[in-house]
Amino acid sequence: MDTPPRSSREATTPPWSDIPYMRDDRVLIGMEECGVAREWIGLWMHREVTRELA
Amino acid sequence: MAENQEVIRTPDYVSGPLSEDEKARLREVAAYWTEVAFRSTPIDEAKIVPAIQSLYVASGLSAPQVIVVSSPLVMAVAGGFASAIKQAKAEDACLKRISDASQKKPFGPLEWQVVQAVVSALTGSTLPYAPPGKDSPIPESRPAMARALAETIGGKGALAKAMIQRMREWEQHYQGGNMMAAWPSYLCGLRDVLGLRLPQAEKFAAWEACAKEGGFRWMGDDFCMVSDFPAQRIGMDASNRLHNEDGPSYVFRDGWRGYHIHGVAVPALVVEEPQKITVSMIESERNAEVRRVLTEKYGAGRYLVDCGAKVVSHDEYGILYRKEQLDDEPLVMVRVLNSTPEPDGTMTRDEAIATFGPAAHLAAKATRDTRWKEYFLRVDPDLRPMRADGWRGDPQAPTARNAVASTFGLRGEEDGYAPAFES
Repeated sequence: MDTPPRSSREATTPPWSDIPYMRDDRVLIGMEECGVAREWIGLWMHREVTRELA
Repeated sequence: MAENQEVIRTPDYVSGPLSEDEKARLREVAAYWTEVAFRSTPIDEAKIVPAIQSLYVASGLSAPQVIVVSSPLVMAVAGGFASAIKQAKAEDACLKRISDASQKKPFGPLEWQVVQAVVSALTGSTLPYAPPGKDSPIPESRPAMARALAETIGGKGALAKAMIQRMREWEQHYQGGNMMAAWPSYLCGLRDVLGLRLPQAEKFAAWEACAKEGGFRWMGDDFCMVSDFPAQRIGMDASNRLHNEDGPSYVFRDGWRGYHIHGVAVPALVVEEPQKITVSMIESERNAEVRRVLTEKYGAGRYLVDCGAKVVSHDEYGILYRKEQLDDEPLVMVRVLNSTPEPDGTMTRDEAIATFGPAAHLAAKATRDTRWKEYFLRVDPDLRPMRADGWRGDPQAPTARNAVASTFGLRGEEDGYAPAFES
């Protein structure tokens, strides 16, 4: 098989690390305290798809 | 960082601690996106198609063909298959194989969802999205289903292998949609509460719409397969692990579902028909986490008795059982009789005496019509005294007395220790 085709995933993902708030730990921590950083469902579903296709 | 840090809120930079009002409003943003992450209302093609197309365009790419699929599983399989077929320029041969196969034997509901999405991507003409329903039967083995489908569509050669390989690389091509709600939550909080207006705003607006309107998506060059939402709210426990004691933890509109107890994936029977769990099923389970769930559902105490676990001590405090387990610590429990009779007890006085012998001394003094309850208490395998704060003491000799004492954080030989078990 040849090299996989270029994925549009990277091109369409916003440059999260460029966001200015990353300079300020206090703001970031404060937002996490408010429960904003909720990734769990996506991580679980990622694991499920991977497990299902193993 | 200084406590009295200056508070800055400008359109291109924010800094400094959050006010109570900001915290309250951020909690509202977080609550909104949490609900988005749990969305179970059907996908709306009229909204998700332009959202994804605008995400590509905002990123400098051509607007793709958007294909709605019934679940992340179908997305991963169909996305990988279509990508590999298109790269091999084998569209015509594969479409003919699909046509031939469908005339010989109908595809199953889940397989048909994959085939429809692949046909859409290969022809460039999107077939209508029509999921078969959450109660649809699904193949027992999904990897076997995928392998069989790859051979049906790609033939029994290199192409089928490439399709399977590309399917397994699905995570290199996907974005999480509504289920990766943290980033949109952050960005919306920064924008709507703290007032940031970032140069990335245009691209983020499209990203935000995609997160609201669709699930997992396979990002191809000229097609994007996006998953529908689950058919019912995903079940999770307080620790954010997949969990549902009464049914599937997740189920999609094509029937794809999973069962979990506190994050441990278990067979459907464990949740749907726990009465069918058997001792041999528990003992043949090689995964220690699953075996723990099976044991708990069966009843740990009942399991110890039914499997013939070794009785290591039987004294006036109870009966101590020990069961060695593969890849896990031994299951050690002390079986005790409540110190007072109870109207809804499961044992008659005579049964209690017959089972507990010296540990039924209180029952022996009671009238014949009394009823008694027994309890199984899990203890440390070395009978270390256990306290609620996690502290554990030194090992003790394996006696039922020491075992009961350990549940109170005590040692059996301590002066004046004379437990009488009460529920």
